[in-house]
Amino acid sequence: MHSARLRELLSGAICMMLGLGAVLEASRYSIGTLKQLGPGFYPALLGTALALVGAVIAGAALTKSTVEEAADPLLEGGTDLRGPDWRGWGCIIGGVVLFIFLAWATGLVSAIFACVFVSARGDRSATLKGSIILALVMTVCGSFVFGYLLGINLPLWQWPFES
Amino acid sequence: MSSSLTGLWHGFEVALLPANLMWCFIGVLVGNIVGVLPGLGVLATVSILLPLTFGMKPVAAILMLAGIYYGAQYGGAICSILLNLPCHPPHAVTCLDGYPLTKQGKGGTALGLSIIGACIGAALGIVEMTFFAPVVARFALNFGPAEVCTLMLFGLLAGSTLARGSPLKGVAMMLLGQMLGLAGVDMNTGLPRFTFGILDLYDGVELVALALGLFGIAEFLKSVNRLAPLHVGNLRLGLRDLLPSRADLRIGVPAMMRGSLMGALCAMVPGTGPTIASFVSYALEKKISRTPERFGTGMIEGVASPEASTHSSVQADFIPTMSMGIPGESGMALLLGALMIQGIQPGPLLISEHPDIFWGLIASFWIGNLILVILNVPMIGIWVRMLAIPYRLLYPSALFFVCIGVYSARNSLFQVGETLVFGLVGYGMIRLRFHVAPMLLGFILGPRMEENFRNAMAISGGDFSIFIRRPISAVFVSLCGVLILSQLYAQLVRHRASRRPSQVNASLPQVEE
Repeated sequence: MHSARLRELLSGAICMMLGLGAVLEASRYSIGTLKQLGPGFYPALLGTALALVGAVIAGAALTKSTVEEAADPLLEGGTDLRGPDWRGWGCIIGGVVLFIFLAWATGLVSAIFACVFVSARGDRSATLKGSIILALVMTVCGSFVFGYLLGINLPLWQWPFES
Repeated sequence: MSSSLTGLWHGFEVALLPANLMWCFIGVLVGNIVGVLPGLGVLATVSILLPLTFGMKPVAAILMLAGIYYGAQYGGAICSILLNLPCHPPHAVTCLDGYPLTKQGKGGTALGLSIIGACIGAALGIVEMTFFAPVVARFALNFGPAEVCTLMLFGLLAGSTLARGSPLKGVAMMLLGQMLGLAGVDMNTGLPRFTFGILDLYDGVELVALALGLFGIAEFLKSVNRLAPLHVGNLRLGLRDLLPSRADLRIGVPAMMRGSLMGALCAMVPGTGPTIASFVSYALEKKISRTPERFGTGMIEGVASPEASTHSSVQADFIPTMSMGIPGESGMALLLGALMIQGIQPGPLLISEHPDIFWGLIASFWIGNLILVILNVPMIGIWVRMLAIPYRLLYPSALFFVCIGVYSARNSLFQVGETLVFGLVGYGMIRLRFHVAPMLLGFILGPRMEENFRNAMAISGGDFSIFIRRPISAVFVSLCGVLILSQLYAQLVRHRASRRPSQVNASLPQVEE
């Protein structure tokens, strides 16, 4: 984040957009009468409230001479969260996407291995060997527990695009 | 009074059944482990195990999930005291005096005190729940839709403003959570709302997907490559190190009493969970101490009081959840969600209609805390060594549990994708300094609040004044007003304080004002 003011403005704008979007979507449902509220009334109410809160957040960011940095050591948990970490993010997202794809295409075993292995590669201190071992261990344990013991509704292995 | 005792007797009969005892044990054990492990949250763990409880009996499910919740509080102190890392928010304040004690070679004493404090605090919290929750439930039986609606509004406002971070952003997250809760087919009219034509959303947003996205994937995205490796070094602790000296106890035990009381009081205010309770009691100790300047250098009171406070608040936090069906914070919201998935309608009738669950839960608190003490005292060395498990092994395994857990909630891979989306959105929100926890609160309460709102309006014939004409409802509305005004006042004070270059203790939360 470049500055606290920009961050607050963005936060407010997002809330306003979400709120207005909800009102817009809710206006497609029936509002009903006050006696017999329709399905659109409450969402519209929520959307309005959210848009108002967003406006106040953004307004406060604009009017305050200094946006004080909310010193909240708990939020960061003692870690430095600045700067992007594309490798970590990419591997975690990739791990989940691969899990979805492989669980659908080739079954549980491949999905577990790919998910654990790819996401483990996101950590810069992880070694290739370590990641493979971790993924193998999790594949064996996971397949046994979920596939065999709990009987999850996924085939352990199937040839792609067969079913 | 006596009915509470007979209820408790019945509860022990339920909780001591071998199957329930086993689930209680598994719950507190898992809780203790996650409590120790840095970088794995309680909420994520409860949500991962939530789908597994679908096939269990309601009593067993709730005993186990609750066990995870309070069991994690035992492990959380270890990280704070020995490594100065606030891994778990309720124990963050314990770092201030716990770590200096470790540096003086008295880390074992601090841990011992935290365990004794846990016993005292938990005992007070459970006693409060035993006698207080039935009273609250009897009172809440008179509530009509208008009262329930305004009470929920108060609970939601308190939960989103008193928690950490900016109150306004908390409210925004709560509102967003309510909207997500409304997604799916409307119960009254059968009209799909906020589904955008996606069939998988007709059943609504999956609770497990939302919780695991926000507290699982978003946390991994936040922590990957950023958690510094822990240097446990030569921390070896045995049973004997835990024993505090008599002098330490003379200072510590009264502090624990004060802390427990503070936690029990905090639990009565909706929205103030264990984190706030521990901060408030630390501030109290500092205020009444004769040597406030020595806090932060390893004061016994600075460890004993907040720890006791955390535990008593964790136990007593179950009161509004179980007696009125209004969770005070996100952890309780998850447990309430688990009850609802089991087909149990939360509310004031829960105690009389499901005595097995209510009294069984209370009895399991006693048993669970006993197990935790037995687990912690002799095995402290094992827990300490567990701190050395590196994050690079932890999060890939946890990610797999997230994927499989959310899949098994509905046997649908769509839910895994949904979780990923919530994770990305949640991480974005965290970067914008939103706290995502109120979202879960809104998500759980949103649909019920809408239903009660509709009913109240139908009863009054479309007249909004029903919310202030009925006395109890009027009280809740005015409480909401007081809450908003006090937040505005706090803002004003802070604004003035920020103009003067004065020393504001940044580590204390806003509730101080």
